Amino acid sequence: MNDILIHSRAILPEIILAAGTLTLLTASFFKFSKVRGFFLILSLAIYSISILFLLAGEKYFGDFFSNSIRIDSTSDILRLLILLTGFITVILTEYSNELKNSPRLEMNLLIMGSVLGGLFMVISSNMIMLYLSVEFISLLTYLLTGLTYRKEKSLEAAVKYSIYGGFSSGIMLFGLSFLYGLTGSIDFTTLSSEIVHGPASSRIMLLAGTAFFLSGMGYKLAMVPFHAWCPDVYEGAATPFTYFFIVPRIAGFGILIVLFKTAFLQHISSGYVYESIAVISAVTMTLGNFSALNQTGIKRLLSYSSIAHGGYALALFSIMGSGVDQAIMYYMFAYMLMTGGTFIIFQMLSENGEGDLTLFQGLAFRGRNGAFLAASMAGFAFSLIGIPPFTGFMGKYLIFSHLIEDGRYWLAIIMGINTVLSIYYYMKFLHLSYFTKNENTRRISIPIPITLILVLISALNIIAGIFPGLVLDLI
Amino acid sequence: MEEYLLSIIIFFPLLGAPLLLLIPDRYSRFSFWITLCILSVPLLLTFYAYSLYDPANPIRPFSSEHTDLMFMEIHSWIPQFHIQYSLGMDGISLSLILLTSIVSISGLIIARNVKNHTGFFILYLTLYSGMMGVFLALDFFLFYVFWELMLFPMYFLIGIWGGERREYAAIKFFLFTLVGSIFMLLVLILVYIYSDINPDPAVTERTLNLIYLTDPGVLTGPFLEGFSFMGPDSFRMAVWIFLFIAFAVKIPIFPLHSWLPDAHVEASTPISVILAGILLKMGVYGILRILLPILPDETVILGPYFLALAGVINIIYGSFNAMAQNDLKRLVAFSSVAHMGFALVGISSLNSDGLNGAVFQMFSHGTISAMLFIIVGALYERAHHRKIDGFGGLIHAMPRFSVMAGIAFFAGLAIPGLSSFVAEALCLIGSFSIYPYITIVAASGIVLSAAYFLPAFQKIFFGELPSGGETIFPDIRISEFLALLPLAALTIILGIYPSLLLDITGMSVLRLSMLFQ
Repeated sequence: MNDILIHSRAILPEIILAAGTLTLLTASFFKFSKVRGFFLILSLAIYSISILFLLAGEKYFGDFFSNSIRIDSTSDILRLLILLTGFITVILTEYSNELKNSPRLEMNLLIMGSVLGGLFMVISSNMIMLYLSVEFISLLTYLLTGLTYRKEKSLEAAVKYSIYGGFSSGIMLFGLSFLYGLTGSIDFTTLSSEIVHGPASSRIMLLAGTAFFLSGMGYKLAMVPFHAWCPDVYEGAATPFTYFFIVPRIAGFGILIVLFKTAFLQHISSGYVYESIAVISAVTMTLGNFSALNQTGIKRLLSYSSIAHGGYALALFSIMGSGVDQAIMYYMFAYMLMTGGTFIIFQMLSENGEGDLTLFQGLAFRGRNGAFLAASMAGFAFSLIGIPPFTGFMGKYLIFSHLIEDGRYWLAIIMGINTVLSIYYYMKFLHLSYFTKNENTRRISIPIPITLILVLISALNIIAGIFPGLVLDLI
Repeated sequence: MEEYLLSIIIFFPLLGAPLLLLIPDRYSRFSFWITLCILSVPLLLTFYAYSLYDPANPIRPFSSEHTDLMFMEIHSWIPQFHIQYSLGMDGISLSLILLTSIVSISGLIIARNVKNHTGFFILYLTLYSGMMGVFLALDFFLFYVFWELMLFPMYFLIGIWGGERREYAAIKFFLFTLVGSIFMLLVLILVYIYSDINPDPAVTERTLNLIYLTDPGVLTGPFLEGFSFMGPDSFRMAVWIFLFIAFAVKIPIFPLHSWLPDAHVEASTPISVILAGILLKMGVYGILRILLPILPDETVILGPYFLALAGVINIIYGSFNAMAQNDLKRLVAFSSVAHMGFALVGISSLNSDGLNGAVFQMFSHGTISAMLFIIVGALYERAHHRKIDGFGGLIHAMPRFSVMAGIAFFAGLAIPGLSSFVAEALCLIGSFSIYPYITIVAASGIVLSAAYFLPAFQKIFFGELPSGGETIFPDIRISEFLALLPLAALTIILGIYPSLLLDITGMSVLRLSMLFQ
């Protein structure tokens, strides 16, 4: 009993969120929940408490609940990032035109549940926990995608997402069952030692299991060739949820870091795993960038750009050495800032969640708000390209230096070429907003909370780029 | 104050820029004066630095023990990667920050009447900080960050306030420079990974400090298969070539130059002034500050091809292209390509005469090309075209303007008594003892420059003034005069008394040249 109490304290932020979902449900029985904004305030309060406990509460690092949960400094940061993203998503939904008629309770419940799933994902340390949390977040994000089901695209995206997702979960589970069957253990750490000391004859099966497992993760993280669902889902989901898809991505990369760090994959490697990850990474970034080149729809463009950035991050997994996890974390942080910021700007510009690059036409000359949006977009675009002093540059610098240090020159060169390629479509944003004129001079209104969020993200985008030490010290 | 002098020079304009945002729209006409005030602070501080600079230090070769740099600032910046915030100034940097602060003021005066000027001035100030930072940074990473910091203000300054094909020019400039930057980034990472300042072989201590990197033996890399044709030290050779490409884009050197005519022609006058006056000097400065001190042996091997030959090709190619132009601005742009060739030929000599000539050429070309672009801009403002054939007899309508233009054009063709003569003569004197044939070909560049500057000057200023020309071409405006005056004065003063500049560059250049003896 005492044990459980101690262990529970380690996952207090998660428990608060879980209790929060129940609170939301309970509150919905009462009449006062019909007040406008009630669920917004309530869920924001719950996130804040959870964040508060995560930041101010005592740190419990170690293994908990018979090795099914492991908390270290890496997962701590990931939890914070996920909670913050959830917090911002809730604010975004409030100001979204697309979600005006959506049921508030269900929406907030689903978001909170997905955040919870993400949190559990990054702290899980055995196969069961991993699989359950991946399914948890997946199922709820399928629903989030389909929440605006009156739009045909949304419905289509939800169906597509759930079919692809279900399929990939199956593959992942298949791979995990291989690993379990061969080693008789579900714990990552024991698994890796079993692998080392186990008979050599099972090598090939282990490799197959790992391949299946990684393919499943590849689906979730939209790696080429498992990426086909991504643009459609990004396009179909309401913009705040598209923003929210940062969470599964961060969580997915987070759990991969944990897996690599616990030496689970290092032992199976025998080179093949790393080589194939390098190849997948190269293909992913190249295909993502090439596909993004001629996209006009902003959501599709950004989804391909996200795929490409996933490829950059994946490149680091192919060399997993000391300090690499730090670089991946920094890149995730940068990705969260720059892609997230872009989606927020898109939401401010688009009324119905659709729209192509013409939305940005003459943006800089549409009053103070327009100039503000254009300037922040410029910062995010430069960051996405990787130009100092923005975070994206520092992220890319870390990736490049690790790749070169480990002698993966070819991957570094491919990444360099990709960076040049990506300039073409990122500069479209700047080109349109600064160099073209627009007859539509309708003034843009930005709600104050969103202004604050954008200012904060833009400021972080510069500060964390100039002083990366601030972020790296945390990790 | 003196310990933070360089930081103030670099960051004062950048931190002053947000001030312009606070000005209400009604009073936006004052933003020019505020910008002028902001820029005059670093100008005065550079003069102060000039007055304090003491070239009488004993001359020692370039090394980490005897840096002989002034106003050094070293702070830890990103300790995880041994990146420092370190600044310092020697004679070469000093001459270039002098150039930057003077030319920037001239450019600003010309920019007085631009549209949307608040945004323009903010970007201008950012650009200024980037340029100053490049000339003062002593850490490779810091250098790179400043190098890139100029990129995006320049992109907007060309793209928003430029001429007809401004968007094309802006993106072309951006792409070319960024491709160069990627090469520099690659070198930056390679240098970081393979540097070791700790003499103990068991302990590796990495650095990006440009001063430490000049010590022999700090940078040794693995044998690169792909570059094996370059001998056993293929790693350093590869680094040399990559870094050279990064700088060559900016100088620009012949096959990589094609962004220059577009960017210079499409940019508005103040931005052309900055581009030709300062930005082109960064590539050469990078060669002097990084390439030569860090990789001296490789420079000796590769210099004849990449510096001397490329310089001559620049001179000839730029001159012939300039001759073919009917657009005055394109002519001036190609003349810049040719004149930067002289600086390269000067550097290739690797002796103190040639290096001095290169630095002097940077300074003198900075002032002269700035003048030329201001003159082109003034003509365009009056006539709304830049065709050389379309002008004539302007000396009758605008005599005072013609005097200024005369100084600029004749300085362009290196008449004795003007600074460009000293510069080009020094470059050629330096290189003659090493590469006599190349120098002879390069010297023909002076004749060639007469072949494009003189006819242009004749067509524009002599001959018949078209009827009604008096009203179209009013004489020089006070702002134009104020912008041209310091530049013209410098051209003449340095032509007569070059020691003003040679005294401050001499020692630093001598130290640099001692690496090659």
